[in-house]
Amino acid sequence: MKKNFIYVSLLALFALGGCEKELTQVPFNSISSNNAFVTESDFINAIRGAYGALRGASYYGGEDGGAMSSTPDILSDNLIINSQGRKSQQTFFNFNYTADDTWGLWNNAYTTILRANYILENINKLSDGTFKSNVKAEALALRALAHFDLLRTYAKKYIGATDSDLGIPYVTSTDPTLLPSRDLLKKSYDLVVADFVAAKTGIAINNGVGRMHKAAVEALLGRVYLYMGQWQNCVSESTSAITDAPAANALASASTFPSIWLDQSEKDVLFKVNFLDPDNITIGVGYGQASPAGVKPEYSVDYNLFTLYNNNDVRKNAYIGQTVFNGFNFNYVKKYSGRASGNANVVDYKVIRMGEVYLNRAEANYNLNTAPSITSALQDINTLESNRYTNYINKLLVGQALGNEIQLQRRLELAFEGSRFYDLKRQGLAVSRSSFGDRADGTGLAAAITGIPANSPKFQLPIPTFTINGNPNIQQNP
Amino acid sequence: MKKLVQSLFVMLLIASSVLAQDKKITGKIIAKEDGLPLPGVSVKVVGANVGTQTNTNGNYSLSVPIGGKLIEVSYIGFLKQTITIGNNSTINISLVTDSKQLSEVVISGYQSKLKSDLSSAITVVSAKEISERPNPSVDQLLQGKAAGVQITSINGKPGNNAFIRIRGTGSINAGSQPLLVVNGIQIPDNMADEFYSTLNANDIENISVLKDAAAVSIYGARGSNGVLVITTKNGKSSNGQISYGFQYGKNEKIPDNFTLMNAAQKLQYEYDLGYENSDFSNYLQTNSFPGSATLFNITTAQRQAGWDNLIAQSHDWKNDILQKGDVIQHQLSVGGNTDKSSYYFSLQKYDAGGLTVGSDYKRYSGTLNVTSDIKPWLTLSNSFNLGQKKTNETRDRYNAQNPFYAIYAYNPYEPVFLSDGTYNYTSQGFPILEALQNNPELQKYLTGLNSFNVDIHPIKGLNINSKLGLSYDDYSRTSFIKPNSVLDGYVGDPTNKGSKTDNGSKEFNYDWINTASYKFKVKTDHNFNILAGQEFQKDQFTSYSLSKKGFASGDLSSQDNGAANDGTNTTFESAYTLFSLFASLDYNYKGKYFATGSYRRDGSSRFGASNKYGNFYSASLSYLISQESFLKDISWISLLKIRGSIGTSGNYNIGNYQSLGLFGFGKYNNQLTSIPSQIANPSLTWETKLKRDIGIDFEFLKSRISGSVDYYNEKTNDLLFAVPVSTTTGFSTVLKNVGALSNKGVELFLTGDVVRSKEVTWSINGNVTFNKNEVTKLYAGQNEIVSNGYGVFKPGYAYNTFKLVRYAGVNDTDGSPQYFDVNGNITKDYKASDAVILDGKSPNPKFFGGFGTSVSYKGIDLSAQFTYVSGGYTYNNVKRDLESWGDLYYQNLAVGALNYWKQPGDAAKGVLPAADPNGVTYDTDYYLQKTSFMRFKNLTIGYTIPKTITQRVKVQSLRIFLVGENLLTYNPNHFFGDPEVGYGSAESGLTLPGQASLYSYPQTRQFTFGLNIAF
Repeated sequence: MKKNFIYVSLLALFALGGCEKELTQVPFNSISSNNAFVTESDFINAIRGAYGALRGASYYGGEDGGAMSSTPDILSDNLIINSQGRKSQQTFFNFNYTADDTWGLWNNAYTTILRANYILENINKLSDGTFKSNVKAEALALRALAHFDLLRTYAKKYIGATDSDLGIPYVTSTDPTLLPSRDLLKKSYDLVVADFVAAKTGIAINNGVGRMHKAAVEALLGRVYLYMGQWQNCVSESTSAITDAPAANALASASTFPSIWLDQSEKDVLFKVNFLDPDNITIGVGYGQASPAGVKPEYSVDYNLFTLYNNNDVRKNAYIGQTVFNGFNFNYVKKYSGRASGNANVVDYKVIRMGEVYLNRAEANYNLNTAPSITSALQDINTLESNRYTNYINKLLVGQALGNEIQLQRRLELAFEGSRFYDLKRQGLAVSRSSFGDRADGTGLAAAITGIPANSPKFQLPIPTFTINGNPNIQQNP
Repeated sequence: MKKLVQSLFVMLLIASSVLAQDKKITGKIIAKEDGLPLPGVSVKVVGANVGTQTNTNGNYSLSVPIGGKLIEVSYIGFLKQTITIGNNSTINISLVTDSKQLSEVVISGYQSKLKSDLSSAITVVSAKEISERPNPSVDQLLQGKAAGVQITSINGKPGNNAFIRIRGTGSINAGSQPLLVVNGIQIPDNMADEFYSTLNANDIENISVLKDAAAVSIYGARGSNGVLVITTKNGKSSNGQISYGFQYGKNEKIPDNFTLMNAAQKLQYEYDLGYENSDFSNYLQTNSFPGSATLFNITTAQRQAGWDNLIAQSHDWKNDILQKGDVIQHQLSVGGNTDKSSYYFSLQKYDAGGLTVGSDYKRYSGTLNVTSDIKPWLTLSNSFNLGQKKTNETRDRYNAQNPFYAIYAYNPYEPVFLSDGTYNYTSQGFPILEALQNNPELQKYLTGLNSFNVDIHPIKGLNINSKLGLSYDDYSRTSFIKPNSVLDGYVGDPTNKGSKTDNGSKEFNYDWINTASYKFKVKTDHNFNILAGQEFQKDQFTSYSLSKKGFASGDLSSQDNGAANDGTNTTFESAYTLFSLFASLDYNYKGKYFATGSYRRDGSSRFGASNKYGNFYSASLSYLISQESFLKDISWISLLKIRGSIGTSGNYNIGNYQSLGLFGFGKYNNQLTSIPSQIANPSLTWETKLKRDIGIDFEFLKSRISGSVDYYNEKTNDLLFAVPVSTTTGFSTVLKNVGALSNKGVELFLTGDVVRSKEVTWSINGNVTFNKNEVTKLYAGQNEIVSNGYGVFKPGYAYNTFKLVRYAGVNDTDGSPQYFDVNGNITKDYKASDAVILDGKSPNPKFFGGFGTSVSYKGIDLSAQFTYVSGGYTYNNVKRDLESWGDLYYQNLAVGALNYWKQPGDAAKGVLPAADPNGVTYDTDYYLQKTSFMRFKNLTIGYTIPKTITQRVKVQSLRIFLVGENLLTYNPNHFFGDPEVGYGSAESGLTLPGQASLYSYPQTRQFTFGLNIAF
């Protein structure tokens, strides 16, 4: 009797073992990787996901901890850290970065590349046709763009590079176990070019500026050729971009130019990253925040640069605002302060604009240094300036004066658009800051670190330690 | 509430029903040693299932049914007596003290056992040690109470939780908090903190701290960080008493151990650094100085006049921002028992004001516990706890949105309001006093547990038990940035002013436990107890977040009042399961030699397909030497036991679904995206801890001295790390079981009853734990992992050992700061790559513990408790700011910042580097400080009004008392600020315990007056 009780109760206990099937639980908001590419709409979702990766927190969606919108300008002579700000990105401003504390663009760029590669690896699940070739081309172009951004940030400049200089790993697979080494610099650039060239053939002309399209790919490829010093290729791609660009994205006139920065016009814009209020990404915060008592700037516009903008230059008021904060006057960057309505500091990031295409072509033509190319360069500069200055009268410049004007216009046009540091770097120039302070009249606290010499190793940002921990095959920059 | 009241009435009815009985006996029970009456002594008629308990005067009255011949008298800590009734109608009894262990029942694992039968390391904290304290967090009340348990307050926010580390930090990424078991039910790790802060400590009967393998292995995959078993009161020792308690007092910031600059000092400092502040600029403008006038080109007299003007308007921001919060508590409880049932009911309301406007904590909690012997073979019981806490929150971030940053950063000469009556933004660009009004954040938690228990005992020794625990936690939060508030101006949408977020979560968990245990003897000397069981847990979690912007006014705040979506409205859902089988065997020979073994098999949905199940075991031995005849004669040894245990336990505390390869979904430009979100790892499994322990328990001199000593050695294997993968894959990490770390240590616990007389009792207690933590293995090819920029995990070093650049003092020629490079050479060049591991310097203390004393004399009682921690280090960011090297010239600083190099020869005086507004105060070991401290944690003085007086007004007892918390702190290493550091800053990600200080909510001290009355 006693024993039976024990046996029965033990049996009853273990009969309850049917709960085992409950041990398999799957998430409510994700699907298995194996089921991600089946229908055309899966590819549409995936390519949007790849564009979305450009919003990475240290990439085009960066705010105040490393951002394409501000970091390359902070690393240059365009900005002075503001005494009233939060001292964000001071490490970059002081050129103090180390592998433990460097720009995290690396990870964001490879996230973009991974998403593009997933599409490319699965692309043959689609049947041939325009849909397939367009999606494929978009993925290739994104992959090329991200690799190019990595190259210009972490590798040496192309012009003057040796055959043994290192580029970055050019990744074309989604295999998570791969431990690639850095490809050679020249090979890396060639692969960027190859992807852009391949993208150019399949891509549609009218995808819109929120996606890659033919003119955008050509414009970006033209930029790559400029960095490579391949002047003729730069000229021809830039020309194609100008020809292929939809009329709605042609060079903006002086009167429409300010509305670009409020996202009220897509003139001039060839490719942009979309930011909406729900994204909670406020790229303008890197430059400052408005309060009811004035704008609290993180960085002031360098007074020297400020004085280079003439009063009839439409860019002056489009880019730079004046504020009084805590009793002091400052010139701050208002390019990313936000749209006419919607959250402050939320605005689309313009990755490449028509203004740059003209400047790229002008610089390439100037460097080709033939009589017709010089003429063409001058013509481009006059075209640009006549759309930027009110009451502009065409200039007639030759020789070094023309070269200087091209560079001056480049600095003025692309200020605070993530270009200045790379422009100095690719030309082998030093970063050399003025001795002006942070206030609107050039007084106030000046930069403690006045720059870095030409070809300084600081021009190659350290690769994050974390990356090398995960892949010892990656060689750190010296 | 209505139901609670109804249930209470039912209980009271049960309690008052009296059955017809025959003979009545009465008497008084006292302790033989001191002659004091003993309340709560159980008196039972042998063989008749009739019994009662003595009242507070030690008197009892019992109706003995016909045939009742013997009564059995038992009480914890005293030898049981059996007395023949005979013809007596009055039986007075004096009880003799026993060894504490031989009679104390301890809840261990799925069973309760006599403490003397244990061969495991378990510390029990009794109700008395944690009641009446004006701190609403049970976890914080355990500070210094149990050997091996380190409690560090997260911060001083009212009702905030604590870091609980049992025998050191045993994990890096999978959580280090112990498993919480309440009334036999495993609480999900997510909810544990809410239970600690919603359970009413006065309702707790005791807390068992399970430490070694013999105690925790039965909890399998959840046991490796130790287990806290909380049991709430069941009324078994009460006598239908109605008690009401009241406490009132004040909460205030513990004063700083440093002084801020006054206005004159700060203005001189600014002048010396070449900085003209905007208040001075305004002074120049409004006092008709020419536009070119600056602080530096006016006359000394003019400058002094301007300064005097600013000094005249100076004030102490602490007075403007800080306040003393009120602490108010009301509690009503009723407990009692009849021969077949017992019940305990309580309600509490607890309110604590915070240190600023906009910070407080309010709680309602209730408990109803009922047990009834329905049939001779069937006992049903149910315990129900429900608590709601509501807190108004301040920001915990590194800027002036945090009031506890603002009190230091605002300059004394900066007025609160500008002359036009608006708030002054100050040099910080933000008026916190405005934000405390206009940016409210409210959090609510509703946390409850119902534990239903069926106990069937059909034959002697056999117990079949089924327990169903339902635990629930509902969290909601609202955060409103009112339209036109300053913060709205900074971060809001200028065309849609004001923004409001409502977010929250619900978590429901059921824990179903079925066990069968059988206790039997073989040939009288061989005692066995076997237990087999099965447990199934399922946890379901949902959360939501809604945000709107564009509000008509600050008085309208519901989501439908907003004009447009602000961000994406989201919901989230997840679930996990844990299925387990377990068994244990206890054996002893003659109550002298003990052996136990346990086994548990756990399956978890969190782990990879190829590693779903884990097996955990333990074995232990103990030898109760004092039961040997050769020791029985040595009268000063009351008890002596040697014990040892070995076994394994696990830690499965990681997120759900982490083993799967996944594609997630999101939005880009308001359209759907799909993105690869996680790499698969089918071999993911739990961390395993091998625990070894040897210990001695002892009681000497009639148990006047008792204690235990333990040596433990614990090794965590398969440590979970987010292992870096090549970032070129687009991912940065994948979670893998790769590392190992160890904790070794000694714990000692002692109590002594110095005086045990009729009039006076005096006891002392103390405990100490020495712990050594060491990371022993990381993943292949990985030498060290940097954590948060301050510390590293590296084999051979303690968890989170600091890695910093070493400061080499001031260069005496030019006053510039100097550093040691990696090779130990002095350099002026600061390079982060010169950081070196500072062996022996980590946040882990070398030893910690607590001690205390309690005295009672007639009606007066006094108890004092101290806690101490020694040997840990914290990176002091507050000191780095307030004694910085000139770069924070625009904010207020501590007077220490004035002590900087001015001329050659100064360096010898140990000064700061020359103040340089363009310089940077780099992170160096100069700001790494030792956090050893001793705290006078609690002082309680009480007076119980003599019964002779209170009984005249039908009051059974009346006690008034005063409680002081955190009264004094001994800070031998002059840590800048409060040396008890939990979080550095929640919103800046400094949340590793004790790693860095950074303006988190300050610790408070409290003074309260209390009153307890019982009818």
